[in-house]
Amino acid sequence: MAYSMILVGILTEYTGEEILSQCLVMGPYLLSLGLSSAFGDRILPHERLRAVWNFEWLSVIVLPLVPLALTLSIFIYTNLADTDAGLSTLSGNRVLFVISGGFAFITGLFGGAQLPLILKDLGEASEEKILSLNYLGPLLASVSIVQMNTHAFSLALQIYIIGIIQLFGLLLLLLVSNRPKKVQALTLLFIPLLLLFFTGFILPRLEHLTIKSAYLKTRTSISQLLRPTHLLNLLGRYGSVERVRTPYQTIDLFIEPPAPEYSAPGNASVYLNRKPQFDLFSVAVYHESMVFGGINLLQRKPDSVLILGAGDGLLLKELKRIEGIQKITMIELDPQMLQWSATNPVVSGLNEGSLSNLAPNVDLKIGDAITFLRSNSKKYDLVFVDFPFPDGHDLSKLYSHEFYRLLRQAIGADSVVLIDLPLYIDKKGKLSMESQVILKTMKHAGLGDPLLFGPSASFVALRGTGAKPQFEYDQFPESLKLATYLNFASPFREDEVNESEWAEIPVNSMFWPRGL
Amino acid sequence: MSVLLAFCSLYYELAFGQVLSVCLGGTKNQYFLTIGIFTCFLGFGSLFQKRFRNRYGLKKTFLTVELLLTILGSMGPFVITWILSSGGNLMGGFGTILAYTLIASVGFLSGFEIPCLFSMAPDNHGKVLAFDYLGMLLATVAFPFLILPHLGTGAGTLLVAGANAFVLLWIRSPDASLLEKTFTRPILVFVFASIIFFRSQINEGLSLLYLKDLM
Repeated sequence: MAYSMILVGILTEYTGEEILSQCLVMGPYLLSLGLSSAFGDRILPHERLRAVWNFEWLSVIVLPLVPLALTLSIFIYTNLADTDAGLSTLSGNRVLFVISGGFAFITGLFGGAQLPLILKDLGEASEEKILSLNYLGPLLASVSIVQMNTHAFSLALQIYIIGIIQLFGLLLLLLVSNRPKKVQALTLLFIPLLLLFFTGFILPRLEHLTIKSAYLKTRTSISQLLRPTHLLNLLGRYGSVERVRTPYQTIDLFIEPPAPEYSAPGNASVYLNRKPQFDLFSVAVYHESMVFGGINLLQRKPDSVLILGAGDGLLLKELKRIEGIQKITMIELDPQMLQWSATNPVVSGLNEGSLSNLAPNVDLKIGDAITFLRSNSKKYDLVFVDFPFPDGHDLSKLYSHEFYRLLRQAIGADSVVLIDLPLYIDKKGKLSMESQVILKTMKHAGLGDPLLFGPSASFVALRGTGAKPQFEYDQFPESLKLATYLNFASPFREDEVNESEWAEIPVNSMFWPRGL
Repeated sequence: MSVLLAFCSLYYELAFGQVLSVCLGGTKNQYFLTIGIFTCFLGFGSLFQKRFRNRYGLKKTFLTVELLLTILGSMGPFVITWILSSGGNLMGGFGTILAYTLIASVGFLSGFEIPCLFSMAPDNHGKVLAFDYLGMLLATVAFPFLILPHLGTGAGTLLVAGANAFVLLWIRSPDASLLEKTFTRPILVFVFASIIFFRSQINEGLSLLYLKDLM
C-alpha cells in the first residue's frame, strides 16, 4: 500500500493531477491485489510457507525498484515525446497514467497473495487476529506516508524507510517460521538490502536528470537513448537545478549559464511544481505591471494592501517603492518558500531582501488564503492575488466561485483586485477555454466586469463596484520600464464570445471542478 | 450485485477524500488518510459482521447495512462540509475527528458486504471477489472521468447512494408486496432523473453549506 502511495506521489508531481493520479493508480493496484490473492488461494498446502517467503522476498526486491522504473520511464518519455506532447499536456499525461497504471498493477501483484496463504496455514482460530492486523497495515501506511510528505522527506528516503520495514518483516517471518536452512535464507536478505541502497543512490540522480531534461526540453531518438552518453553529458554539463521540497510544493531554481556560441545570455528560472513562475527576463515587467497597474486603477495611494501568495517576495519589493501605504498584509501558505526566498542568493537578490528585512508596515502571516479569507472581516483598498496557475485539484480550488465569493468579502466599493491569470489565446484568436472558465467563475461569484491586460504578463483587474476598471495612461510614473508600459495594453477580446457560447462555459467549483 | 456494492463503497471513499481536501486542504494527504482509515475499518467490519449475523440473521443484517450505507453515503459529503466549515472548523479538531469517524463508519459497514455475499452465494466466492475488484476498478475510473466532471461531488454522491438503494430493493424484492414492487422502481427512476436534472442546484447547495458563515 505504501509503495502504491509513493507511485501516486510521483505521478502527481509530474502531472499535477492529484485526483486522477490517486484513482488511476489505485484501480489497477486493487485489481492486481485481487488477482494475486486468487492466485494465492490455489497454492498447495505443503508449498504455502515457501510461497509466502518467496512472495515476500521477491516483493522486497521488486517493489523499491518500481518507483525507480517509473521515474526512468518518465525520463525516457520526456526525451522521446514531441515538444507538443510534453508532460504538462493532456496527451502527455495520458501516456504517463497508462505507464503508472502498469506499475501500480505490478505493485498489487506482489501484495495480494500472502494473506490467503497465511490465513490458510494458520487456520480459522487465528483468522480474525490476522485479518485485523492485515487491515491495520493500510492505516499505518497512509499515516506514515502523510507524515513523510508533511516533513518533506525525499523520495529515496521514503523508499529506504519502507524497504527497511519490509526487510524487518521478512526477518521476523524467518525467525518465527520453522523453515530449514535459516542461515542460508538470512544471507538472501542481503540481495534486497543491496538493491535498496542501489535504488536510494540512483533515484535522486535520475530525478535530477529528468527534471533538467524537462526544463531543457531535450529531445532524442530511441537509438540515441540506447547509447545515452551524449545526452547524459549534455545534461550533466549544461545548467544546474537546485530543488527544495516542502510539504506544499517543490521549488526548482534552474540556472542556465551564458552560451556565447548560441548567443544565449543565460537565465535563472523559478518553477513551482514544475510550472514556470518567473525568470530574469520576465520578473520586472510582471511585478511592476501588477503593482503600478493596481495603483493606477485605484487612482490613489492605497492605505491597506492584501497580498495572497507571492512567497517569492518580489511583489513586496515593488510595494516598497510606494510611499504612504499604512499596512500590507501578506498571506503565504508555505513557510519554507519564504525561508528559501529570503536566503537563496538569486531570489533574495531579486527581491532585494524584502523578506529578510521586513518593512515595519508589513504583516506577514503564514497560512492558507482560504482559511484567512473565511475569518477575515476587514476591507482592503488593493488586493493582489498571486497564485500558481491551476494545475491540479489543490490549485483549482483557488480559482473556484467559492474562493472568489470569499475574496469579495475582503473588498470595499472603491477597492481594486488584481489577479495574476495566464490568459491564453487559442488558434482562432479567442481566449482559451481555461481562461474563459475562470472569467465566468468570477462573474458567477459576483466580481463584476473584469479588465484583462498584459500581452507578456497577463492579469485580470476588478473593481469593488463591479464596474470595469480603466487605466489612466498619463498617470503612470515615468520611471517604469518600456516593456511594463507595453504590458498595460489589452489585446484580449472577451466580448467576442457570443451568448450561446458563454452559456456553455462551465463554472468552476471546489465541489464540481470543471474546465481547468 | 457485487460490482455495484464495491463501486458504491469505493466511490464514497473517493467522494469523502474530495470533500476533505476541499475543507482541510492537501488533496494527496487527505486521500491517503481516507484510504487508510476506510481500508482499516473495512477489515474491522468483516471481522465483526459474524456477531451481527448470528444475532440478527443474514438478510436482516445485510438489509440494515445497505440502508445505513445509503443514508451515510448520501449525507456524508454534506455532513462533512457542514462540520468542517462551521466557524473555521466546528469544535476545533473535534470536527475533523467527527469527519473521519463518518469515513470509518462507512468503511466498517462496507466490510460486512463481502462476507454476507459469500454466505448468500457459498459456491461462487471466486466470482463474488472478481466482480468486487471489477467494481472497485470501475469506481476509480468513473469518479475522475465521469462523475466528478459531469455531476460534481454532491449530485454524484446522491446518484451513487441511489444505486445503493437499488441494491437494497433488489435484496428485499422476494419479500416485497405487489404494491411495493409496482411503485419503488418508478420512484427510484424518478429520483435518479431528478438528481441528474438538478445537479447544479445540488452542488450549489454543497457550496452554500461551505460558505454558510458568510451568508
